[in-house]
Amino acid sequence: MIESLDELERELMALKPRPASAQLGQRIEAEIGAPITLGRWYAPLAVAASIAVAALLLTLFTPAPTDRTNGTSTLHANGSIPAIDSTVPTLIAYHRALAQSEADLAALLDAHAAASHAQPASNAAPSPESPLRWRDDSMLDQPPNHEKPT
Amino acid sequence: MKPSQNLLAALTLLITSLAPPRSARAADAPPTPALGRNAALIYWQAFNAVDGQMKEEAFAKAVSEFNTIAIDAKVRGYVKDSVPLNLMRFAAAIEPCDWGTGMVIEEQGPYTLLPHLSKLRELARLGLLGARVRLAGKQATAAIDDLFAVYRMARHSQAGDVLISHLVGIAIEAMANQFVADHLAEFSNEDLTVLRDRFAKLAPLTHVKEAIIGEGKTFGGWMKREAAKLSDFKARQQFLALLSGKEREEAVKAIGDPPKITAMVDEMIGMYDKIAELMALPPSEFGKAHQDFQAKIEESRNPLSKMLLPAFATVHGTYHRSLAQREMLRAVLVWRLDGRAKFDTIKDPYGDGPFAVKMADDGREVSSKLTVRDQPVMMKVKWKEE
Repeated sequence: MIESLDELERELMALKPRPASAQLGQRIEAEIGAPITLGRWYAPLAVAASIAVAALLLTLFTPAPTDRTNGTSTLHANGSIPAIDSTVPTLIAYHRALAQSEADLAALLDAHAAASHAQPASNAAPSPESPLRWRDDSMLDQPPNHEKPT
Repeated sequence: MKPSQNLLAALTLLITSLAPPRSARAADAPPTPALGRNAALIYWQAFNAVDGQMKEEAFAKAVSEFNTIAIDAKVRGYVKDSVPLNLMRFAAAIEPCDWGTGMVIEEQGPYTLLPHLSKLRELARLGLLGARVRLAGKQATAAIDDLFAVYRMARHSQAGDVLISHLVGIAIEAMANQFVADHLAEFSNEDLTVLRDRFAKLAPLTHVKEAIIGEGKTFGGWMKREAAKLSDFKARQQFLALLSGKEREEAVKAIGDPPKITAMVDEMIGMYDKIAELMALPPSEFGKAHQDFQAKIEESRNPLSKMLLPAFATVHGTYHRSLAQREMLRAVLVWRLDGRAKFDTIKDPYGDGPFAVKMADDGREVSSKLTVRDQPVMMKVKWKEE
């Protein structure tokens, strides 16, 4: 889906305005009562129109964003609500286990310990699919201080 | 030396002499953060070292079966000069411990990750394996050091006022208590005197009501904030994911009515105060008060209170069982060192007299009048009076 959209975007960007016909120029001249040079004003207008059309098409055909909280699609406003993933050592997962019994809580803690050895360290860290989400995600887009241009 | 070099040397000397002394420069520097001495940072290094070793099946088995596995050269090798054990002892000796959970819960609420808890349990098992190997190797003092590092770890686990962290601390202390009871016969009187004195100086575990109050503030704060932005689709999904079944359906209906949702959240947060009061009640008064409170929750028809309040009756029972077992162990140490008559002077905090004792094949069973979830609280002690 994304690949085909990229293709569409490339095609739209490649569109070039057709040269205006001599008849069109004559008609406009007649209406405004002054001679004009079509090439000077028509080209930027056409480019702007193309971009507007491209933007409109992209908006219409881009899929709804995916909920990175747990990877479920948010295509429909009343889409399915994600389930709590008990394989992730979250506070809510532990509370739910405790609500069953103390033994369930202990078993879940042991399962998390075992899983953390089975996975490479990079997988054990919060991934983009994990529920870890800061209030201000824009923080993540900012480069660290040492990467800022001087 | 060339003139230019002379000039350079002179300039260097001048600049050095004009520069403030080292101590003054240090005073101008930003203060070192308090987190510089943070046991949690050292524990994480220990966890990392354990993670590497746990990939070896035999090591993982030795840790998991720390109290029963046969001690052979391989097991002794796991303990000798062990990097994670050394780091554990180092971390346990540091007073401040901040896992950063309080700050994260304010941001993440129920989705806060608590990866250190399962690792603390594992490190505690390794610590007790270390104590067992040393005890078997006639290094009782080192064994006691390992044991008390585990007791300290139980207290460090509780840092941050998170209910689950408190329960993990209680579980780690219970492992250490049972270890002492299982190996009581192996300690000399001299070693046991040291153990008893250190046990008496051990700070009590934090009262569980503190965790309830803390979690009410952090988790409650998150709920309040999230409830205010339920028009956002992602926030709404995260919020509703906390509920299920009928409670979720009720919350979905209320979501279009922001004042109603806010009132639900406020009511739920207010209930944490009441739960903290209940937690302070002795077990004899808790049962009835808990029933009444449970009825109030049902009456409130608040789906958030029904599904999101912690399982506080379980927590109350677990907390009091830990207190009873700690007192039992103290009494058993007194018996071993000073005789049965002294043991009988120690009152069961949940009864009218001393703890009950029943003889068993490999020792004895000491029990309290306290029952938790209809089970009597007891401790098996592997020691028979000569």
